[in-house]
Parts: sequence; structure tokens; C-alpha cells
Amino acid sequence: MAALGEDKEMEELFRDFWWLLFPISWMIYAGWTGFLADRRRAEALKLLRVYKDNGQEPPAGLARLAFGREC
Amino acid sequence: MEDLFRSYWWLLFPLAWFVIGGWNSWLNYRRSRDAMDLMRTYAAKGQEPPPDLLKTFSEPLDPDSDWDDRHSRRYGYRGRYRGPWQARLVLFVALCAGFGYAAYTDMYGAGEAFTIVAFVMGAIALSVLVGGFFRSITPKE
Repeated sequence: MAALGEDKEMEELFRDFWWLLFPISWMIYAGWTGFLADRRRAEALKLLRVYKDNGQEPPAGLARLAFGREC
Repeated sequence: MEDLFRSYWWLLFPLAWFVIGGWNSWLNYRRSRDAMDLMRTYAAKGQEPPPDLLKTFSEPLDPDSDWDDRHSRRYGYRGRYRGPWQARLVLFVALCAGFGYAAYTDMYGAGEAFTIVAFVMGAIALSVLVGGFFRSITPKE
């Protein structure tokens, strides 16, 4: 009986705060895409270093990816 | 639980959108990382990478680049077809109106859910309108 009461309470809680799923999902999504963007920038920086070490001109777009702007 | 699912089944759609968006971001990251790995191999050998690799590489980074103007105009960021912003505006205004009507008439007894969807569609329409307006007044580089 106690478990049934707890279920009811949880259901009530969900019915009151279901809308919180949207901002929480958005935060998780934004954090995930931010993390991936950071990883991509780090990879681009590594690649830029290889070009620099070899004294070569990096392709267009690589610096923008690494620094967010043209260099 | 069954009651809860019957009341909130529509939540599956927006939540699935977040999941699919996250998955697409991961795939995009994997694609550019693999392209960069391959370019690193070419750079280490002092060779020029093939032009096709440069295209694959620059696509998600610089969607407005002129590597393929036709492609750039038709496809937005991440290579997804987006069409002209006016068409998207009409789509989201129509969706907002449709869901607004469904909310107003309490269609299927789910007026509350339709209200939320109408708000979301309205917000997206507004965002498309503002984005399109500023894009149209910003001179192209």
C-alpha cells in the first residue's frame, strides 16, 4: 500500500513539473554540443601544429575552426 | 503509469528531437575528426590532400564558403536542406496556427499539450522571421 502511495506521489510530481524536461534536455544538449565543439577545436589546433611544424600553409577554414576567426 | 503515458505520449516527439540532435552532432564531430586525421597523414608526408577531402572537411566548418555555391545556397549548416527562410516561416506559422486551433478547440481532449506545441511553433516562426530579416539586411561578404 505504501509503495502504491509513493507511485501516486511520483506521478503527481511528474504532472506538476513535466515541463522541466524541456530546459533540462536543452541544457544537456547544449553541454553535449559545446563539448563536441571544444574537442573539434582541439583537433584543429593539433592539425595546425602539424602544418606549422612542416612549414606548410594550412587549408582555408582550419584556422577559423581552431580560433573561431581567420588568422 | 498507463494514465501517465496516455497524458504525456506527445513528449516523446520533442525529447526524440533532442536525442537525434545530439546524435547528429556526434556524427558531425566524427566526420570532421576523421577528415582531420586523414589530412594529418597527408601533412606529415608533405603532400597536398585531394580536393575532395578538402571539400568534405570544409563543409561543416564554413557553410558559406564558395567550394560549391549551389550546394551552399541550398544546404545550411551540417548539410541539411533548409530552403529559403520565407518557406520555413510559412511552414512554422501554419503549424502554429494549426496547433493553436487544436488547443483552442481542445481537440482529442489534449488542449494543454497542443498549447505548448503551438507556443514552440510560434517561437520557431518568430526566430526564423528575425533571422531571415537580419540576414536579408546584412551585406554578403
